[in-house]
Amino acid sequence: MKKKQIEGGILAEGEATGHKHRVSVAVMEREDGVREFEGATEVLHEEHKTISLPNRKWNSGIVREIDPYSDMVRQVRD
Amino acid sequence: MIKSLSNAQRARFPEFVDKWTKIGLCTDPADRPSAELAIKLMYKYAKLEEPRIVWCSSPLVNVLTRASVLKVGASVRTLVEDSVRDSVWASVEASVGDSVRDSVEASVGDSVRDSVEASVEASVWDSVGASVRTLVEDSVRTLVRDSVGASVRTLVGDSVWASVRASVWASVRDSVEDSVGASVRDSVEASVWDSVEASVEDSVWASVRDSVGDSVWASVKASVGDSVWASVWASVRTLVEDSVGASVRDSVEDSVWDSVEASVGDSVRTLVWDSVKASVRDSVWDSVWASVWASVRDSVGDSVWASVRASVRASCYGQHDASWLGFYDFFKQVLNLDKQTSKLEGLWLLAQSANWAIPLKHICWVSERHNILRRDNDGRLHCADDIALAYPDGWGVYALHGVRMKPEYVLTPADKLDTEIILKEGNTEVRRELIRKVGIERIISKAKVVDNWNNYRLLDFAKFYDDESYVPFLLMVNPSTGGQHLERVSAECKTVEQALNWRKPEALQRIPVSDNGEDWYQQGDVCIWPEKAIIIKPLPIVIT
Repeated sequence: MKKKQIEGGILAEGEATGHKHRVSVAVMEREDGVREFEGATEVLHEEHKTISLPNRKWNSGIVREIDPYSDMVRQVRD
Repeated sequence: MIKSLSNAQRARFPEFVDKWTKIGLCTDPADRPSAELAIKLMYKYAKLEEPRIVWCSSPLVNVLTRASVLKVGASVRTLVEDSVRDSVWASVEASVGDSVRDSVEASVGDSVRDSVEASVEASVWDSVGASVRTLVEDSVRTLVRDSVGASVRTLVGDSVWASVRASVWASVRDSVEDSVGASVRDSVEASVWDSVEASVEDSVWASVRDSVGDSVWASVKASVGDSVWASVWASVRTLVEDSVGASVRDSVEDSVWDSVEASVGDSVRTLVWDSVKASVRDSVWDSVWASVWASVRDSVGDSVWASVRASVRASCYGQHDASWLGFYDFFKQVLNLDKQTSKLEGLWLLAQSANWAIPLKHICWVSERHNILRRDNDGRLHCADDIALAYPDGWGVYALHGVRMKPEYVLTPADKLDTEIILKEGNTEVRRELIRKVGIERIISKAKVVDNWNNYRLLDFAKFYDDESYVPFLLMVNPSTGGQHLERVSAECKTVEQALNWRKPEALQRIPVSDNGEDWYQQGDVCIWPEKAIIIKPLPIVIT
């Protein structure tokens, strides 16, 4: 599966606030949208409390909702 | 080397936080003579010739002017022709029959053809004589028309033209006989910010860093830089940047979307929906809605966005750079590191006199300051009934508690905002602010409560949806802020537990759950789980 590097260790970025869920290690995105990173790191966000992760390989993804217009399943947009 | 700070020096931290926060949030008119001197100093330190300086009325006008001058408009429309049309055709063809395709093609085709026709225009820069002015005007009008919505267009269209005219007209006017393309292009294409940044910021950083110990560096950064960063960069600049992009991106998405939606709505719904209904529904929606939306968004939105991002990235942020400039100011003023910081003279002066600037090789566009800036008690951009941040041309940002909003969401009184509008708002943070505005009790009173668990409630809003007997939304409390989020879940979900499981990202959902499974985490809408997990716990071990 191809992967691309995500600048700034960003796991997700809010459209309406510019806020970012981010880590201090390198983040790669897989073709299915899952983002991968490795190491003991903190997950930071301007609004949410920090989460400390132990040292291992991690996957991250965004929760789902039903799009209010299309009735299709999609990632939550914030 | 300075290895520690005295108490007297530390006592001056608040002075610098206050000074640079005020600079970053200043709403006075730009001090144009000082800003122009600042730009000349910046170029001098980058060992570049003084540029022509063109004033713009807002960062959006900076960006659109640059795009106009570089003629981004034509490439955007070419892309519309090449990739979006093909995506639309492929999706429609794969999804519906010939009769429907003909109808859809007729509708979508018109809008694509219009865009293509509008893009067939001679290169401004390769044209000469009297026609140049007309072509420049047309190019600007077309770009502005295609790039921003009507309200923004009214506000900034004239400003963009004035800026472009100031940028190029003098060059064009004097070159009636010869092509001016190459020389003008050469003069505007090379962004110099990287060289300014490399020659100034990096060397200052290295010089200051060599002069102070780790604890001094960290202490000043935490006490001055980070405080101003939170007030200016995180709270204001980020939303301005997003709004510059969104003003272009959203309206391009909307305008393309409108034409696609109109075609799908009228043609597919009329011709397919009634006759084929459920058998075609999924494939049509999957292919047309999801893939067209995705391709339109990705192709058109991102290409325009890319040009905006390029402009944004080529910018220096003037007063919005207050955090890191304030950080270095402390070293200069308190620790007397004059020599080490001398190259910042231009950037310091620009920050104290103007807003964003786009420095190119022979030209620099610089924006007026915002003249309105309103915040809540937490320092976030906010105004409950008016624009939160505005520039002299009227363009700006509507925001509630730091969340960028459509103007109508802010300007409509709470008791006039329909529940249906809130339910159908696509962005969860915007939805949260709308809920806060109208009050959660009013929302709940319109729903049927299906299930309760801890701080979660599963609510049925079917009465707002035609032809639906059950439309569940999960109401949840943000554990970090206390804000209430309402997100629609699948009609398969009859309990809160089912809804929580359904919401998980697809890759996470495929992992079986057990109380003995591995720990996973959730921060807002982002779930984080071990890469090799075979079984996970039903709920995150930490949620913030």
